[in-house]
Amino acid sequence: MSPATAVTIHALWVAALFWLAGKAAVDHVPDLARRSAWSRAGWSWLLGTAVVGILLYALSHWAGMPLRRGWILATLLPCAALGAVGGLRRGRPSVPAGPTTGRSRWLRRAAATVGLTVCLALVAEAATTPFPGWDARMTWAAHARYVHAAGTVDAPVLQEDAWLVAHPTYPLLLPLLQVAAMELSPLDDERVAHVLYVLFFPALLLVLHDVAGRLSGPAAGSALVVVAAALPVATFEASTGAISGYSDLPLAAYWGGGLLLLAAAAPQVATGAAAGVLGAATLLSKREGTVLAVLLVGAAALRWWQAARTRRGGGADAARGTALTCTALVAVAAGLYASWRRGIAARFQEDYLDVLRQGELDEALGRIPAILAEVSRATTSWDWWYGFWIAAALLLVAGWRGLARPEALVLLPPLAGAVAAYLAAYVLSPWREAVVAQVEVSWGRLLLHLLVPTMALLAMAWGGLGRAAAEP
Amino acid sequence: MTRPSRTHRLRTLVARSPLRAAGALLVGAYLAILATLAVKDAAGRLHDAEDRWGDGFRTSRARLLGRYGEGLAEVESLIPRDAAYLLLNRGTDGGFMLLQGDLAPRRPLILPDQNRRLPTEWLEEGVPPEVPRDVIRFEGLDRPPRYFHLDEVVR
Repeated sequence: MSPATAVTIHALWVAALFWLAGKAAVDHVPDLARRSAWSRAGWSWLLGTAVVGILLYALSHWAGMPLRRGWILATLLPCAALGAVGGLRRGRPSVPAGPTTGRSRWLRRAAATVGLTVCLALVAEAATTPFPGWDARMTWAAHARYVHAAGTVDAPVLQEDAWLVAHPTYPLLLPLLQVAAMELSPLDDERVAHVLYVLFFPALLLVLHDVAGRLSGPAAGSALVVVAAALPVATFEASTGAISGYSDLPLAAYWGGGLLLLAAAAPQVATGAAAGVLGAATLLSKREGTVLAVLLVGAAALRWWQAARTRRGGGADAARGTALTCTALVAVAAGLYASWRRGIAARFQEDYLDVLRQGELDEALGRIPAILAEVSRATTSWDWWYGFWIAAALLLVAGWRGLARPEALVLLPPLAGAVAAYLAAYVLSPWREAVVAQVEVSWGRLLLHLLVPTMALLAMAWGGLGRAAAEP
Repeated sequence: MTRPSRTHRLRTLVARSPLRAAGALLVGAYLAILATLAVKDAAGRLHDAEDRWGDGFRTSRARLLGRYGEGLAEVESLIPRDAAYLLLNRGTDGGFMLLQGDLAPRRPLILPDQNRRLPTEWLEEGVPPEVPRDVIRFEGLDRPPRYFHLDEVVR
């Protein structure tokens, strides 16, 4: 058997365990369990990787569980078995996303062809190359190997200040999935983990298709799959995309998925729990995840307030249960991260409050025009985005009527909050005069975090265009 | 009642609202361009992956990273995975942090000035016995990292 075939088979075996664990979660969320098989497949991957990563993190740090094959299997197999048994027990009815027309059938075929080709290429490239991106090599994959060698998330090399380690306080959820792959596969080959990373992309496409389809019909879902599958920044770009091995695409999928569950579903505690798990995974995936998870909790509160005002979809009590469950899970993740981080000697940290402490706010504010110029250039970069944000702005303006719905009101504040937080971070950046270089290397990644909720808004705008066209 | 043909519906749309028709055309053209770009790029990458399908991990790494990647394999064979080492940075950018990641879980000690030099007291008073004897020198991402024994560096 050729090496890449073995890598692919081993990665798919580990992925199947993660996916089955997620399927068990999806089976217990009525709103998700009613969706089509393809939609559930996407949600299962997100929830499965989130649940597995959070459990390994918590059990290793709080219970001292060794991150070794037997213990990882003991954690994974019950969840996976639950997912497998759930599938055998009953077939789920699928809910059609909307009326299927000739145009939507054609678009669906095009989306399936484009999406499948891109996903196959991602898997093939991941199975035949190591992680290409700088941050993947110096931070994420390196942390996975340190944790794997120590058999615990509290690895001495991260905790002791004698050692040269990049960003030792970065949260470990994605490296833990890599550790699970290293333990469960006998191959000593990081390409197994590389394949697991790229599987977030098909999951993202399936979730986008599901959500956009439910908001504005199958044509919108298919069109947005074509758009997402084409974006270099989300696919083959070595410093941001699915191929990079960075935590940004999984973070985008977790955060976006959590927001969309909160925005679109009729309030239910189980939905709140699923959103909370995705919010917790957001927080434990990357440092920016803390800000995004707080915004997600804010969205849950907004949804509660909305339901209390309008009694939409089941009333305020259910929405309160949803919001409280979601908040509780994110709070537990915050506690886990804070507790784990306390044991780590901080070094190589970027201190975003130093500018304020040094009384340099005036100089920092003076850098705003340069920051905005670079943000604008990076946002409109054809090589990264193929004109996506310009097209998105035009579609949002043209289909503005479609945004007059409660889901949009839940999605817009966290989106605006994330943009504001990221811009504020640039202004207060410890890179100071070199901040333009920081924007240049990081803005694409930060925009990627916003992709899923933005796509949902585009689907609504698409629906608004359709309504406008139908009017005399 | 028969359904109007697609051509008829298009003509009606253009006649009733040329702007809307132009918008629909633009969206369609944009999607077609994106689909073409995506499939073309993906097809090229599938073709490239086929060429690499028989590569083991180290071969694929050397293919991606060139001489630096080839040098990694040699250095890895000289230092056990659970060992500590000294990383000396002779590169011009932050590339030495990549070497730290590429050699993990081997542990590099933090040294002064972004690992550019050994502590002065080591040079003046002698190197403490607990300091690892293996030294890896990073010389840039276009060159292989080099192995030295500590005695060679201190001398």
